[in-house]
Amino acid sequence: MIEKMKLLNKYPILFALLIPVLLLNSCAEKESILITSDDYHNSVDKITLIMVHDIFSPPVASRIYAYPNIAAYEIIVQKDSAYRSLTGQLEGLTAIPKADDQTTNFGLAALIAHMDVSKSLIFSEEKVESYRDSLYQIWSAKNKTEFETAKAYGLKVSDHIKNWYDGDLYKQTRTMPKFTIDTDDPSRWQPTPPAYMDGIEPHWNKIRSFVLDSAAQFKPLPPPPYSLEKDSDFYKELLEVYEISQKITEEGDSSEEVVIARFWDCNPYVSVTRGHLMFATKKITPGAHWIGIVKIACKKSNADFNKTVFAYTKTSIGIFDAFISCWDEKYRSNLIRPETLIHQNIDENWKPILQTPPFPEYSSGHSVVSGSAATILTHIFGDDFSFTDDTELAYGLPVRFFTSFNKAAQEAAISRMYGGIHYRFAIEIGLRQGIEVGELVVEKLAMNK
Amino acid sequence: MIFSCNSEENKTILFVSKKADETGIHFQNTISSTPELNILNYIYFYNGSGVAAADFNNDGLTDLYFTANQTEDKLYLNRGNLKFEDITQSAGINNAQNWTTGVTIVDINEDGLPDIYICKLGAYHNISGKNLLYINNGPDKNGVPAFTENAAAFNLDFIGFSTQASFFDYDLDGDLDLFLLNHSTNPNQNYGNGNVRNFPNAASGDKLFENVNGIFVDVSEDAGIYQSKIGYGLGVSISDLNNDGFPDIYVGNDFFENDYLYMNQGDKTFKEVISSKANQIGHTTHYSMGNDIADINNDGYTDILSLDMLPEDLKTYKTSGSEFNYQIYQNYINNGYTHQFMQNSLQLNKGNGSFSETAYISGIAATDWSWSPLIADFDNDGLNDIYITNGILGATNDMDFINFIANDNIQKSLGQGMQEKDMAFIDQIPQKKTTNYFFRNIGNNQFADVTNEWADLNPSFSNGAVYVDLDNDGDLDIVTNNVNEPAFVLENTSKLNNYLTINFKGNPHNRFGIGAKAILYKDSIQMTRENYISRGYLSAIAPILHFGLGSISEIDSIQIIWPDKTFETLHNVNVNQVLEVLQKNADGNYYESFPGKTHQYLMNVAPLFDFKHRDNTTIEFNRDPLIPFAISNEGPKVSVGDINNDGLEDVFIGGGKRQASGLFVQQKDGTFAQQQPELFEKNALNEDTASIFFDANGDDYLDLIVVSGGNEFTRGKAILPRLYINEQGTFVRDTLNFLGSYSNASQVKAVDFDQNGTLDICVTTANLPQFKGDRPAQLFFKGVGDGNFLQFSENDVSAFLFGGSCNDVIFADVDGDGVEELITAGDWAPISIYAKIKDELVLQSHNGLDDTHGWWNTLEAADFDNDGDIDLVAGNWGLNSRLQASPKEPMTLYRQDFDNNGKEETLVTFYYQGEETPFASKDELVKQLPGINKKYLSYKDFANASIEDIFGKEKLQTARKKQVFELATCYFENVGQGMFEKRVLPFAAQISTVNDIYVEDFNNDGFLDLLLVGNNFEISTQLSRLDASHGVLLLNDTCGNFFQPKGQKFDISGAARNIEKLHYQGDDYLIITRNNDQPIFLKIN
Repeated sequence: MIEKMKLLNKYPILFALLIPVLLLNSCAEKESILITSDDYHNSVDKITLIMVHDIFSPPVASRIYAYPNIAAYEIIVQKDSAYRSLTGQLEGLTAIPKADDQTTNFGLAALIAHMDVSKSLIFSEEKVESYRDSLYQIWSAKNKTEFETAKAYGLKVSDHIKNWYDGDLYKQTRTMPKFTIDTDDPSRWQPTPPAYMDGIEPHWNKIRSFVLDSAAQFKPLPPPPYSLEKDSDFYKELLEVYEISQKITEEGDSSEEVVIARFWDCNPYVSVTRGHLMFATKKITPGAHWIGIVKIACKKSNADFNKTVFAYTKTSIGIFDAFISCWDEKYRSNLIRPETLIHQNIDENWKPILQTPPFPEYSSGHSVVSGSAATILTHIFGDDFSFTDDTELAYGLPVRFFTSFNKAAQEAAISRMYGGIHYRFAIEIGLRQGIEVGELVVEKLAMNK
Repeated sequence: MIFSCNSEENKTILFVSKKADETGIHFQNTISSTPELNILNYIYFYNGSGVAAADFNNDGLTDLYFTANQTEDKLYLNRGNLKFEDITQSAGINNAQNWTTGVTIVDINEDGLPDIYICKLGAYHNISGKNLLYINNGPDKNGVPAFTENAAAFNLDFIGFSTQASFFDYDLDGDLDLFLLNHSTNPNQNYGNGNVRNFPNAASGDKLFENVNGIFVDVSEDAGIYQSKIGYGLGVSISDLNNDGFPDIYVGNDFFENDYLYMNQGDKTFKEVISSKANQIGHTTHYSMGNDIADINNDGYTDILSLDMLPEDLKTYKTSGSEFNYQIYQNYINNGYTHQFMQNSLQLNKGNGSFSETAYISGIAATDWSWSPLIADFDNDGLNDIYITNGILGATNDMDFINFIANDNIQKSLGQGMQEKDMAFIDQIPQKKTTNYFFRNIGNNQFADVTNEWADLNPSFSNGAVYVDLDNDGDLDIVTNNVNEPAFVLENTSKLNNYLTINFKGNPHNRFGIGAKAILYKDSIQMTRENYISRGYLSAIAPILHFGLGSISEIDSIQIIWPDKTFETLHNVNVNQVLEVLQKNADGNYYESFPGKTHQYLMNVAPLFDFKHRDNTTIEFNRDPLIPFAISNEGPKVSVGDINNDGLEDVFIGGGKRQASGLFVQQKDGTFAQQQPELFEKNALNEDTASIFFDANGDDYLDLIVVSGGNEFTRGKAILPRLYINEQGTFVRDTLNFLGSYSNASQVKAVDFDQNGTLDICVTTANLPQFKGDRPAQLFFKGVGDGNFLQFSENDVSAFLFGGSCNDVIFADVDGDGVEELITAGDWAPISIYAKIKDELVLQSHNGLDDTHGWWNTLEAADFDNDGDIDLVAGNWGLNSRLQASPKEPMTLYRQDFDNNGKEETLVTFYYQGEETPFASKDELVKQLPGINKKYLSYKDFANASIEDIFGKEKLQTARKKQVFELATCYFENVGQGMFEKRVLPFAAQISTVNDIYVEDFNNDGFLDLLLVGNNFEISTQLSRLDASHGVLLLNDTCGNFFQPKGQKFDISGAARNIEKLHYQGDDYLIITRNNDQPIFLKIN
């Protein structure tokens, strides 16, 4: 930018000569750039694909969804009085710069800001750039002035949002100590097969939340006390995981429970060994699945651009805080996974239907996130909202039909027990925990007028 | 550079590649993936096949048999002049079905004709093979032998997953038994508990068969052989490792399973010593491939070489899968596995049951994806060299493939079974075509890479190989079996040196004398060879021993020792001939006739008192994953003194965190009584790192000061020096001194530095607690009488207090002015001498020690060359790791906030092949600095970037830096006027860290000798494990040079920390403390 300014100062005459030409060109193309909700869906989908490629853990992925949506949302509220700014409602968010020109195409600026904030958060920037540049070319050809104005504004807001997220302690948590495995206490989490990865994001509860007053605001009840006594609650729950898994494995791949478990797997990095070959199969995260459901709901309800941005934003805020709430509990209770205990005490050769993800068991992340997202979506689109969920189609999984968001959340939650990676209490309490986060978001955030 | 053209022309290649058209050997192991069998359903699809050498038609020329995995095996008759004839069909060999692996030779029917035993994959997917035995019916009139397959007749038609077989006489009953190496076919996941190795599995488990009147009977269980499904056996070698006449077995297991070292107990059983975690072998190869056993240093004990897949090339290294991080690695040790690292391992046989792994310092640690090591004297200079085959058609450890390529292609076809179209996916697996290695033995247990000097090889996928004198010219030619390329035949054109070849004529049950040894003597040189033929990988050499003799033209004598322990000594043997030896000429019992007696300077004895140091697993790699080593396991040290003035020496030994230190009082009856445990229990939380007995108050009773560290606490009483006043034999804690003097202490010393008649106290520290990377301050207290201490005036001693990291401090008058200097050694610090000038300590420079920055652990001062001045010897990190350092190419520690998050990161770099590179892997770096992924998401891009690209030139320049220029343990000779000359101590001193040095004239020649102890286990898993030291005794040659005496049997395995002498029952003993273990006690003879 500075370079350009210098250029202007140095060659005022040259620019004076150029300006009429530019004006001439723009006069010839008066057509306005029309931005639809599909454009926004496409941008979100593109970021999802890149996230899968780049490999982000579920909590980190939730952060990559949230901030770009908020950037877009804050732009559309500048123009659309139906929505209210989140300034002052989200911790540390100050008012974004006003647009200099009220004729700015705010939808276009919102989309540009979404792409630009997203780009800063993912790794493979060149993938966003090539997508962005192809759009830029189209828009520029259609109406250069309108495009340049919107772009300048979008990027300005993007910078504002980047400054804001920079203070959320994400970077600082990178240098904090890794999670230390306690090998002496049998109830404590241990790394799980096959990759025995370190526990991920042990400091995620230190990340600045959006709406929660603290990571522990919805601290769930502690899990049943660890015990391997046959009549203890804990052992019964452990045995239930094993027995259900045995039963549905016998029934085979077509069993409804196996289908459900696989459908909601949402594991961004599954380490696969075939023969001598090791590789990762990568899917979307739990948060990304619910972002996919936002798209389905928007499309089914013919949501306009602004409502689309609103729905994504509110849901991604709920998902983000749900992860903070859940991760706070995970590293508090630091509970061992069923797989480890089943290997040690019940069946050495047992393998869960899903690969156990690398962090403590309690509470179930997918349950918390699903509870939160479904609560917010129900608030936006209503409880009586049936939909066909084809989010996982790209990953070789079938479509499923749900009569409501809450039904989908309940299935997502119980899928973790079918998958052999969670106890029932982690699911039931986790779902409750998520609903509480979602309700808080609904209650506290005044977004619609 | 100017002369490169000339030297190119003058370059004499030792091995000349013979073209297939010249030799007639067109064999190649052609591999083709099918939907039924491929790398996705058979883990060893790319492992290649073998070759065997034997004279099948008794015409004096060694013939060759090649196995092919999927296509037809080939048998070639040697027709002389390196011309071969394919007689596969006419000889009746027909092995083209199913999946073939290794091949070996045995005279199964004792007719003097070599028979062929072939390993095959049994029932697996579409495969239904069984092992084959082609019995040699003898040659026809054209010299073409005919074979008949009849494994069943000997119970050798094994159906399972066989890798390779080795015939040997395990019970010394005269006939040949069989060790059959098998491999698991399970994908390497979900490995669970190591105790799975105790449960037999019929198809995958290794087998020992006893030859009972010509029928092979499975005796695996009785003999103590592991036969489980986690045995991924890829290499087996037989050798008498402990020279007791009974053959021992080394098995290399791929993946997570331990290698097995079976020591023959002489009663038809074996004791496996690796899984018992007895410290005899520190660590082994992780992804073990082939192995070979031979004596590489002519010390009469055979050494073990096992191969792995560590890339030599830095870029390949960075794009390949690396070792687990410390915590995950510990988890896997806790699951019942022993220490294994991705590197070749050379286990130098100490001759006392222990081995030192020296692959890094020996120069052979990294040879890429390697298969066959062959140890033999290729240049006939009398020292065994090494040939290593490598390369793989599908390198499945490519990190970009694992993370980024595989996904898009395979996601949907998984779980549906492979189709023809999915074969395209397999084609995307990166190939690693690499050049086989030649290493020349340059003596001193070290090797030079002479790949380009000795041969002109193209990159290949090479697997099984043999050395064999194909043209009977007295040097060893090499034949290598390749995937998808004709076999290599390398003619050895060595002319310069003498040789001797030995042919064995054994008793009828073992006509080729398998298991016989030959020991050749010339002056002080002794060379030992063993006649075992299954060597390297999937292959078998001819049953002939070869000696390169260099310029030796007369051999003093040769001893031939047969498997039944009888022996024959031959004198005046001519060189450059084939010597035929006959078992019927041998008699006696070699092992009783030559028991071998050497004076033992030191002897292990049972512990004199009961104390086991406990230290917890370090969490420093969680706190800071980028550091090279932890500093949390420094203790214990031991102090010796007579505390009750009864004329008997007593012992104080430090406890770990949450373990009380112990005071053990020697009784007249030779027992030790623990005194005042309750007193030391009060400070059990302290991790005590050093202590001394000294008289603090002049009452002639030894008082005690104890200091603590362990990098666990940043401040507080757990790191406060503790003074215990001895009140006529009873200790009372002094509570007035050292208040607030927190120190993450490394050492404590007492000295009357101000020469006022009272002892002063020096407490050193190497690192600020929890690794802040800054210079820690030292503490120096002046004894002011009555057991009271005050800090020295800071002005007087500030040079020392703020001089930097200090692991040890000594006081010695090195400049001969009658006043002692203060000398320190520490981490990232030079050996520093502070002289007292007036009342002030002044750091000396330009004294030959300026560029000695190292990771120093310990210092000693004495007049070693008896020239009247004081020399120094200092223990360092050693040279047996991936790390190297010199003033030109130092190791550097950068402290910098690389990602601007307000917190500094630690970056440690070193030079590798001329390029500065971080030692931490990309995966570890991005956990701290995720921004790196923005610039270099792919491992390939990361590998191609310089550290300036990655971390930013300015960030590096403005970082706080510390450096290391020297990693060797060194002797510094005082050459007068306070000047020192550095001399690197011998190989044995460099194979691990040296943590303490004990000085004594062990051989009573008036010159001081050295005992070095060391090892550090808490180091980054990227750096393997420093465990090779078993205690090093170095004698002084009276000129201040040091050498290792032969045949010493004492053993100091484990993480040794400190040596102190103890007078006990009229003799002198050494107590050697070990971290997290019992002390070792040695008696000085």
